[in-house]
Amino acid sequence: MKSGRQAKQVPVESPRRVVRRPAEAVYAEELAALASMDSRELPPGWKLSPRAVRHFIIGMEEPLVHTWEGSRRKTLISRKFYGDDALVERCVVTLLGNRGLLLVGEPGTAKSMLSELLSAAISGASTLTVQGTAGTTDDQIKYSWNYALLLAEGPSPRALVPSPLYSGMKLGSVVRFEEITRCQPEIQDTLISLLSDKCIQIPELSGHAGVLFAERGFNIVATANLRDRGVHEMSSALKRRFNFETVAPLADATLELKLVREQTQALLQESGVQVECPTDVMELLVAAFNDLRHGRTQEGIVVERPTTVLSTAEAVAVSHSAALDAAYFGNGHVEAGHVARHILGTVLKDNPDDAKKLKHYFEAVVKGRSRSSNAWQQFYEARKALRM
Amino acid sequence: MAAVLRGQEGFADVMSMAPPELLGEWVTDRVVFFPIRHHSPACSRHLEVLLRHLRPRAVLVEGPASFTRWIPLILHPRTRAPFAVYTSFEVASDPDSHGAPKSLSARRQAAYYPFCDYSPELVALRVGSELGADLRFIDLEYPDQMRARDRGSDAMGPRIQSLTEERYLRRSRSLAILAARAGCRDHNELWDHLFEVRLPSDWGSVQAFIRDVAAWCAYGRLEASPDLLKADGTFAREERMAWVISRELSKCDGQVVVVTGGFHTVALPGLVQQTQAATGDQFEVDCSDGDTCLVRYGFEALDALNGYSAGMPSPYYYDRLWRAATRNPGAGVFNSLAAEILVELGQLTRSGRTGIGVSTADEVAALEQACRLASLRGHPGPMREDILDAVRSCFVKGAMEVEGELVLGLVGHLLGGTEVGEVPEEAGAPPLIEDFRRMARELKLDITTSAKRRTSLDLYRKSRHRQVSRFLHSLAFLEVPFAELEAGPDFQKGTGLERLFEHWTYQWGIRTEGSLVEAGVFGSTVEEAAGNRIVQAMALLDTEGHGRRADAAVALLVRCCQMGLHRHSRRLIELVSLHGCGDVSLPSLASALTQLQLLQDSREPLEAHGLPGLHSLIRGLFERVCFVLQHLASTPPEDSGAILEALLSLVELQSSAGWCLVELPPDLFWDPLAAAAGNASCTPHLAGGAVGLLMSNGRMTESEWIRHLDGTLKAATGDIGRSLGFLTGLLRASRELAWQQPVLVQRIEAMMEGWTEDEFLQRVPHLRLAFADLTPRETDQVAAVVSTLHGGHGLDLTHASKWSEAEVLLVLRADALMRKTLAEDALEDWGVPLPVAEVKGRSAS
Repeated sequence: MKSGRQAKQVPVESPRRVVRRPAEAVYAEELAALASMDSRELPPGWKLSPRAVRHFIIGMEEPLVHTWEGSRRKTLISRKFYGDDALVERCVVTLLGNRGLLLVGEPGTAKSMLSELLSAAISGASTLTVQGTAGTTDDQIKYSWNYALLLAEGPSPRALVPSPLYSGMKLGSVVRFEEITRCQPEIQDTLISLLSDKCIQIPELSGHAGVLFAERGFNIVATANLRDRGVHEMSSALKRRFNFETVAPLADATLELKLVREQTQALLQESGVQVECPTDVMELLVAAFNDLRHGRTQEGIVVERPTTVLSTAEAVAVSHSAALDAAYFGNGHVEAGHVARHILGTVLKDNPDDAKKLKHYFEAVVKGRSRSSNAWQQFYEARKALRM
Repeated sequence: MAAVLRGQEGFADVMSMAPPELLGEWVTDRVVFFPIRHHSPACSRHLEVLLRHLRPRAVLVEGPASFTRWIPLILHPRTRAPFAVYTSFEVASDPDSHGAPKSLSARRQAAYYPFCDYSPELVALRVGSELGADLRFIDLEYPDQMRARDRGSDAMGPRIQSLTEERYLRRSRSLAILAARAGCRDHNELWDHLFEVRLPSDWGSVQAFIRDVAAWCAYGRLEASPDLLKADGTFAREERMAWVISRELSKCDGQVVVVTGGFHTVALPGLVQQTQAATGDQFEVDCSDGDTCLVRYGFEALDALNGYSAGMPSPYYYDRLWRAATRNPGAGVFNSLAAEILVELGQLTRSGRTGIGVSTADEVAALEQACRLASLRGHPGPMREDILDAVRSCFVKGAMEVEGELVLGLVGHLLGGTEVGEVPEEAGAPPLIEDFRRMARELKLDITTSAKRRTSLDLYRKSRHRQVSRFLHSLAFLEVPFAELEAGPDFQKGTGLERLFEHWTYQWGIRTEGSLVEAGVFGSTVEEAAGNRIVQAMALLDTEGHGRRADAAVALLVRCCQMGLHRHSRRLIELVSLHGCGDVSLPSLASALTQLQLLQDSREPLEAHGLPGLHSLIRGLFERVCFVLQHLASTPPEDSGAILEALLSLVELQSSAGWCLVELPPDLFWDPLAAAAGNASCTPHLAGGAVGLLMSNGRMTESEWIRHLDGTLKAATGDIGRSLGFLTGLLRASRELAWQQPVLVQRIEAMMEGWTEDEFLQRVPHLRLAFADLTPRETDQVAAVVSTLHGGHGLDLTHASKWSEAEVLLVLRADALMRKTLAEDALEDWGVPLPVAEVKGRSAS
């Protein structure tokens, strides 16, 4: 779900040795299939038409036939983003226009994944990324200098070290700006002129080199958390230059189950692990997350909500860890006990009260369910190992 | 690209299962079955093109057959949409509930059949009449529709329903799946995506349109089981429609166009073929036993988002779309409408104190967004959802569930609209509605829109405001949903009387006129209806078992004055005195008298001081009180508390300023009280109360009351409950005796001297209850009296005991235990006496 956040472009030639490949590498075949079938006129600077971008993200029912690595093959475009299809359409259309796209929402709602998919599909590259933190500075957003060259030759294009944003402008590519609200407001505001004039002034260089005008196809996809510890307000001037899109958590438990299964399988495949994930255990995991997230179970029992954010991404992380646990320390068969062991680390972060809430959940809900279901019984019994 | 690329797919891809042979039956040279979705501009446009091309002899429209009589008025030049045909009928009452009181709301069933300018039904009538075709409604009568339903199938349903419901399409799973496949959020968006985009139409596209709507409806009907359709009366209605169509076909030789909801069109051609052979006149009767009239209707009520179940959301948007398409039938209509709406919304956000500032740049960005979304989704221009999505993207600066709620609420309101139609005077609105409108105009109440308004009425100084207040009170009494009193004096309960203003909110809604139609059974003007309703309410008092309750009757009289129905007051006063004469309940009479006194004292708002007969009514009721007092001694113990309170309020009433008007000898009231006080069978509580009242009003000498006190406290019966009850009543009626008359404390002390420890503990709660009404200051006064009696000098609060209460209690308990042990060993004499009486006296007070 949540992508690793690369600050620099990563060479993707040797997939075996990379922990996590960017979306354009993972989905290279799908992107090629869509590009080969895309008969529509492309917007300037785009690698795919807006419709094809939409289909890349929300998937297609029938496979596309195309030539890939010298042979004809059928490629199914998988669904990568679940939930709000209209939101995807709005995002694609926003990136066609003059304004930047700002994805907001709770942690773990796949904002970063959506931004990665959008930039991979539109520009073929998702690695032009600025990571916003409290320590992000002006020159990480615009450009800085290679001081050895600067001293030796004076200011010259050769001595200039481009930021991802600079590169995106030059190449006409979509640039990602992660966690924009974690930057100081005055640093955020650097973006105002960049977004309205679509150019960077480089006063150190003279003549034509003193201004970099953005190529067509350039735009920004930012992600932000509006209500979390350590986030800053955005100025109205900057807000005006973005279209806001709220990414909501998945409301549908069936969809969430499907998503958790798919993502876990994908992660396990990456890790090269063979392990069996029974449906009842996965259902248990998603049900437990849903209960704790909404504060109310399917049976209508009210439970205390832990302070930790329990997103679908967290559920995937738990299921992945449980599967690895089963593969390396178990018999290759995921059981509810594995889930119980790993759910603890997710729910209990920094608030000691959450342990009490989880304990209450086990006593009030899990115990009741353990009478009718084997998986829930294992889940309940595993609590002893957790000293709960 | 494969078929499912949104926008690229044609209708056939989404609805690949559409049965193509349907069209052959639906469009023949004798008859065209035109399927519609209620309130769809695209259906209307295609229907208009079809009618102008075919010039049929007859146009048959879904709707109760008796509505045919209303067609001239529906087509009247001064009729302005939105309006509705309102129909209601009286439900035959159940034989078993015969004689039970019937409330106004339970005995009528009512329904609306709304029309907008863009409703296909209205377009069919308008164009049909222009072409000189026969126009006719063909559905089952509304009462028959209701009877055709299974009993209990919608017992819990709304009282006023819509005759153009589309519940099956709304719930259809097939349509939901189709919507998901086409990337639409629900069936409304799917409908726009497939049909409204085809609004600009010509004859060449009509057949394809009919075929596609047919497929849509066939899908919608897939899941409706025959049992369900039979239970909700659909089969009965379709049978009737088919019968009328085949009769029409046999009567005239030209072409017939049948306009019905597509849900029925699916079944009708087959039914017509079956019925053609059959003859009979089971449906011949073309009149209804219901009341029908043409009333104004509002967009707000029509908006599916507000819970209206017939068709499309955002009526104002579709109305604008229809108008724009009428002016300019080109494809550019969607773009220009989107621009207009986004600019209007921007201005709306800037004009009010909404806290959202949408700039012109935002409007430009939103329009661009809408157009691009439309092109991504393959629409000829921005449709409703494209505009809404553009608003979501460009106008919301923050999280959707916070800032977004505000913006989307605003846009929902804008697209929903508040417009209200107009019906001509010839429509012969029922006289009550006429009167309502006239009064509202006169009193300057705005009923031209359905927006909520607020008004403050200065009841004391402005006579027009009083009139408005009375009008609004009358409507509220008639249960007409129009105005709500938010704050103001309540003359019935006697609360908030210091308020000078009444604050009302009012809102004209379609249910207002509907309820007025129903209330028409009471009279032809608001005043008359309210007057008759109040007389009926009075009659209902009898049947509901309040027949002999003066207070309920007087409450109605107060209500009558609040509504300004002084003309009716004489009848009411007669009725009240009739009720009062039989009333045996002192609390009811006391409350009635208090209310009447309030009426008498009140100034401008009620204007009741000059009511003829009011004075003699008060006098009559007071006489009744004096009569009822004769039986005071026989009051059962459980009522004595309420009766004592009534007595207190009566005494208070007599000392109020306006009371001298009742020229009755005071003895009439006090003598029975004195008699009751001396009557041994009177409950002690009441006896004590009576003594207290007599004493504090100077109607009993000191020696007399000490005699009563001694008689009860030193009673030889040993019934201590009687003494305590007497004390409670006495102090409730006149608690100042406790500190003004030291003899009372003396007697109580003397009584306690004779009690054992256990008896004391048992009775102390009752004693406490008797003194419960005392304020802390008064308690101190009583304590001072106790202290003086024991040689102290008043209450010396500066003296603090070095023992805490807990310690004293501990010692007392230890002492009691000690004494008991000594007594058991026959050693009582060893015990040292303790000043127990003093301790008891203190804890009692």
